Amino acid sequence: MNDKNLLLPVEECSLSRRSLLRQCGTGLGVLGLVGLLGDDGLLQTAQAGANPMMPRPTHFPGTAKRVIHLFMNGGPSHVDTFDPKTALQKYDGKKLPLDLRTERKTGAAMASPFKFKKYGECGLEVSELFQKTAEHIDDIAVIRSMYADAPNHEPSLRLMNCGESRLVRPSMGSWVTYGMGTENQNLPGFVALCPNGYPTVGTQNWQTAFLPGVFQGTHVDTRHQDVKKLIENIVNPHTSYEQQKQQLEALKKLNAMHLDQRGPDPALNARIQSYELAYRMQMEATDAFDVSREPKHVLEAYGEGVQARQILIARRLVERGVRYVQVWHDKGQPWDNHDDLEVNHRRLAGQCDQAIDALLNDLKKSGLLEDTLVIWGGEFGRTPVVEMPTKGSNAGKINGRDHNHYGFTVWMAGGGVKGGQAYGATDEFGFKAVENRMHVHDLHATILKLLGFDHKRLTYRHAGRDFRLTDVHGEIHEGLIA
Amino acid sequence: MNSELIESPPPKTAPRPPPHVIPITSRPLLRVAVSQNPTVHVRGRFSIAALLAGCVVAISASTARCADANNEDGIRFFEEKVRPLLSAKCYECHGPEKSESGLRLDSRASILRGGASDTPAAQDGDPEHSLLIESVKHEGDYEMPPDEPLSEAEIDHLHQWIKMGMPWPEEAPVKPTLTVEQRVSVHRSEHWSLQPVKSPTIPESDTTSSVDSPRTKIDRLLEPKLADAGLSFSPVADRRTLIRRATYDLIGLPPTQKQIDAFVNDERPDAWPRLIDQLLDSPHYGERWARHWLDVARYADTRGYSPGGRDKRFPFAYTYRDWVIKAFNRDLPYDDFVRCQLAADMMDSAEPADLAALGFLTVGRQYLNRLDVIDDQVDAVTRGILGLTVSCARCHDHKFDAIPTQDYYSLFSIFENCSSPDELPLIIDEAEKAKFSEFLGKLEAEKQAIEKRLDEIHEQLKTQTQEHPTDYLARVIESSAEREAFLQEQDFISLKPIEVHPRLLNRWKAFVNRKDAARMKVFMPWHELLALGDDGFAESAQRKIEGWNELPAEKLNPLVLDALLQQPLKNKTELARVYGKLIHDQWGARDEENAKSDPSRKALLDLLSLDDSPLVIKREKIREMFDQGQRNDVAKREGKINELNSNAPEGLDRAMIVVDREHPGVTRVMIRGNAGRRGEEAPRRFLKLLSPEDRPVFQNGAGRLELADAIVSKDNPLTARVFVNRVWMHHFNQPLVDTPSDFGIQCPEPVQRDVLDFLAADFMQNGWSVKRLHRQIMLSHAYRQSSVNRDDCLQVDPENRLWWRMNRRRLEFESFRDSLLAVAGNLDAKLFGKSAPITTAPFSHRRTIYGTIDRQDLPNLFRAFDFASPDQSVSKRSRTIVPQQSLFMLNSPFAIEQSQQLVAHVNSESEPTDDQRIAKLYQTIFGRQPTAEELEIGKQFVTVAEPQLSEPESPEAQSSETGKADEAAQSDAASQTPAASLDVWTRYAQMLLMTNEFEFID
Repeated sequence: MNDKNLLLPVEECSLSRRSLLRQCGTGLGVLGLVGLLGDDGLLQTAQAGANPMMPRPTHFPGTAKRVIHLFMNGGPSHVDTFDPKTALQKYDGKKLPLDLRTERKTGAAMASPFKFKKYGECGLEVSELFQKTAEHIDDIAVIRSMYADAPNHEPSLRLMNCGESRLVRPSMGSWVTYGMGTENQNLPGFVALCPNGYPTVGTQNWQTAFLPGVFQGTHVDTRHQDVKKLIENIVNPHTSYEQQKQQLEALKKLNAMHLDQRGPDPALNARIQSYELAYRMQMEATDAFDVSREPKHVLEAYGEGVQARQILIARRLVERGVRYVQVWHDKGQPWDNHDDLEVNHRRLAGQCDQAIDALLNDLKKSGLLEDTLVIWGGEFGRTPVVEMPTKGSNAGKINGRDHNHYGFTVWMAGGGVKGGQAYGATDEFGFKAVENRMHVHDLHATILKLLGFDHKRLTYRHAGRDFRLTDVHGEIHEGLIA
Repeated sequence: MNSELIESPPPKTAPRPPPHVIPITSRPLLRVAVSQNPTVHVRGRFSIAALLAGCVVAISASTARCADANNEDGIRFFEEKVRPLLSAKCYECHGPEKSESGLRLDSRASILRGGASDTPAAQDGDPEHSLLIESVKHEGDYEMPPDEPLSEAEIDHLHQWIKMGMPWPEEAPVKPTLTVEQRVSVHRSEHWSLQPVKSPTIPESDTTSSVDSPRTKIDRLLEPKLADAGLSFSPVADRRTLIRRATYDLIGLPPTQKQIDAFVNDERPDAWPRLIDQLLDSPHYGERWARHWLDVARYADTRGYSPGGRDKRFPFAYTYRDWVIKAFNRDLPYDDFVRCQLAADMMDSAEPADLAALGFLTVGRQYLNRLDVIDDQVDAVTRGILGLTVSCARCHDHKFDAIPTQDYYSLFSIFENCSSPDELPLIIDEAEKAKFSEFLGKLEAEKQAIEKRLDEIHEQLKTQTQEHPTDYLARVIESSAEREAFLQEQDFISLKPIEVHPRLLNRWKAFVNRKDAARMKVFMPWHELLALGDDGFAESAQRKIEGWNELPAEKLNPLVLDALLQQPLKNKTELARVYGKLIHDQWGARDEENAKSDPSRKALLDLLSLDDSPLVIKREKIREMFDQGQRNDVAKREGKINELNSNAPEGLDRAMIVVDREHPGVTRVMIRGNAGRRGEEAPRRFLKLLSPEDRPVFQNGAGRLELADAIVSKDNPLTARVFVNRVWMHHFNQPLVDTPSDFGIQCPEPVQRDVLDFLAADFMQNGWSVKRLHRQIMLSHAYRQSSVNRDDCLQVDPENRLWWRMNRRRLEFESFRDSLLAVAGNLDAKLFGKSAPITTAPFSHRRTIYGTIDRQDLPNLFRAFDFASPDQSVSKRSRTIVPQQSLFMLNSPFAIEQSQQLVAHVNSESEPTDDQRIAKLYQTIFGRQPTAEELEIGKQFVTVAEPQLSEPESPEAQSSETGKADEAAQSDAASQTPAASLDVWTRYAQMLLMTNEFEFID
């Protein structure tokens, strides 16, 4: 029903072609970017080319410059980690006086089998599962009032990563690299670390959808310890760097003659440069992913195992200017403990607690924590009630928890986050977020704000409309921002 | 709205409330009377405090309303309490950016006008009859705001404000929102792309056409705009450039040296048109142009995310891809090309093989929610073929184009009323089929096994429901984990909780709880007794039951009464025992002689035989009854069939068709895209924006053929324009209209519109021939221009919007990979057939169009080279240059393999000298001889590099320039057995393949 005069002028988009050309003259990188702004848009030029990953200013100066998202896929239980509920002790084994529809059949309340203790000056309680991480609680904002839309992994993973449960939409990492490029052209701008394969819904978690393919997250299977296996085509097993240099020198000469005959052309130039970039990338990438170059005490601080290794890689990547790193716990949905929650949560947390502690220590020591946003959480939490046996769905042990999208916990640290606080709250049992309720869209809006974006203006024109990560939603929760 | 109003829809002519509440005639009079008196004496009495205290008693409803609402206090109240509230809670959907259901709440007038329902949102001065109040209180049809209800205080503020007469400060009037009808007529008369396609007058050419470069109509249309800007065409490119350009354009492969020489030396005046015809006749032409269309058709070989690790492949998507290739090759007229893809099954002229065309509708992502699949179909058809973003109207009327939500659902309804059948039809003839009898036998056996399993499940469920009515009824009363413990102690309960079938339980619940007359004859006591309190149940139940003694059989089935009287009920659960036994016994004895003659038995059995009876399990609907385990089991077996089909022998082609529902159903608008909230009916018909006044409703099945006919009607201003623009884009690397899938109101008139209109008109007049369209374009001077830069022109028209030169372009992913294979002599020229993975070794040598496209896990290679996302119709690929592309050439096993193969053809016997070898490589890769300088560079490369050839790479040999990274290389080298070093000629050839000359088309 809107008529023409409501049409948003293209200039509204911070990355509009015109403003770019205004701001940056005719630099190569810029022209390349211009070529990207909109598949349907008015913005592609024949000269387009060049590197769209060049860093560029955000809407306003952000407090966070890069992101490490520690993704506890499967859904970690908030009442067993960061959201203690004494009422569950009281009701243990009894029916709760509230009834929310869960994905599967659930029964009586189940008290947390884990001990909680106060940490830091703020005195927030954290369970023994994350006792090492808890040492940093004064830097951490524990958001206890998260909620999502559905109690199923697939839609919730898509929602948490792409802001939309069903349809194909770009992931947050893609939006962020689209919005601000990346600092190190020799490394991918958006890396998704996941050992042994893909999490549930696979590459959709870091997809670009209709954004240009370059903003797709690069998946790295951290099961491999051999650096060469981590990134596609990063090493040529037959050709030495010296031989490659000879190739590139000859290539340069031939390309120069070719260019000479044709006159200046940004695309031709960009491709010439991209070989130089690629050459350097081979070295930088192998270096970045090779944790064996860390001194022994650092390796010891992170601990054993693949979690330690990949969280250390994450640190090495952000140190080198990678914009957005996701660290997935494992393929599939490891935190999805419908049975044997105590044993499994203990094992899973045990695999990463020490490394998260070491990561926060390192970031703090180097000062990087100031503008590095660390996010911890899953796609949803777990019920405070026990899951009942269902044929074909669980092992019928009655000692696990079902999915819970009504309320769960995500925490953030660094990057301008106001630490040492519990933000929002679930009800007295931890079932439903009741205070300062924060939808996933709100989390996204707040994260984008920390990064320097107005989530309503970080848009991409596609199929006739301007899309954004938060669609038509998203409230910034200022209480989280220092 | 209250329930009374739901039954009688609000009158369209007279606004609510009905006249007896407030006499309509009196209201304006009152207002006028008061406004004539500027010194409103009630003014002073309004104080915010009083208002907040709800102190409206002092002012009778009518006087408050008649008082000039716009007094200071009223305005202040509005600004402090109401405007912020409206703005925070309502404007997101009913404000300047969006007007859901046509309603805006950002001006007094628009509130009084109301929304699409023609009901004012508020009755001035009468909150009790205001839709707004009703909605925020969740008392009527609408529950607003949908996410979080307003607080009591907020509702109160609105209430008071309406009562006060809705004070609102003077503001510039909000521009009235045009109705869709008005917008249709405005857009049709004003927007360029909606004007009928008319061939423009062709200007005379000012330029003297040389024989070498005749000006075509296209040129004569382009030139005036060029001249106006002080620009001119560039000269014709040289023949070598031309043949390379044309060959890549039409077949996506590099010309060979022989072909180049032949063309360069062809002195016939029609050498160029001959070349074009020759290329258009090549079977590879279809492969090239089909791929362009597959971007639009979001083609992929997998369905997307498959829950439970099920097989995600589309075993027969390739038949659609092959159909598209063949359609281009046989120059199927574009109108029929479109018709086939929407309705091949309904066309008289279509062959069985054309059924594969329906893949256009079915190869999209298979979202778990079918609504999203249908949305994707609407999107592919409308953006892809019509150049309109109709899907924007899924949740609200289109923001820009005159496409109401109802029109979206009209198209939606077409696709909602058709679906893929369980078994896809074979599109090969009987003789062919015989060759596959063994495989088909195996397939049949698998299918039989599934049928057998379905029979088993059917039997199991039948037995369970008929044997255990008591068990189910006991859980109908209440089902919870706590209750199970109690139930398990009852002697009449035999099923364990895990044995209770959830679907059966649902059926029982629904059956018992439906309260029609026939059912109440049996279940009245059930409901009445369950409604009793638990305390003293036995006694009160007994009293009730005895009271029913008098009831006639028409009110209560005597069999039920007898059963209830037989043994007193101790608690409610025992009702299940009584009813369960009765139903069990009667059903078990239903074949007895007098079961039909005894009216009580007959009535009961008739009830139990109804379609919705839980005792009646229909074999054909057995799938709806699956529990999780059964669903998984059958899905696994069906997955096996999918797997078998995916591995079916080559040639056993099936078409991914759709079939219409036998009785197409009515679709209603989903309000805000919410399937749970339905609005008006959306009859299956075409868009109002593109239809004649008397827009027909489609009659033939789901209406696909009628839709296709409407789309390709010559009166439709969009279809031809959209397609010729796409073709132009692929020839010039830049479209005439910048948004190829959006010709809507936001799309400005293209600078060279006349060319677009000329081509569109010509296209339709000449039988929609695509090959003719290529010729038209390629014979123009515009197409044959050089791409060399001209600084003066670049200053004036940096984006070449006027076409003063040809655009240089990078090879697309397909042409790039195909070219590597071609120059290496590896290209498998075989046409058609199943898709093959192309990113894993051993590498397929088939053309890239035959590479498997897994939309759920698209290999990085595709992404790195800007492949079109297979999830939505793509109008333009992005064009990026990133290091990953270079890494692929530097390091990938595929690039190395092609370099090695390339060199294998250049051997020391046929080319004994370095010079000769280099020349041979240049001929193969670039189709030309090297220059002296290039020869020199080559010779230097192979000689300087030569010494390192024989010995494996030693770390010491490396320069220290690269510093730390070289250490990395060394440690890498140390950590594994060194692979064989490449021959220097291979490295040289690889380097040539990296050049811009290879990668770009001038």
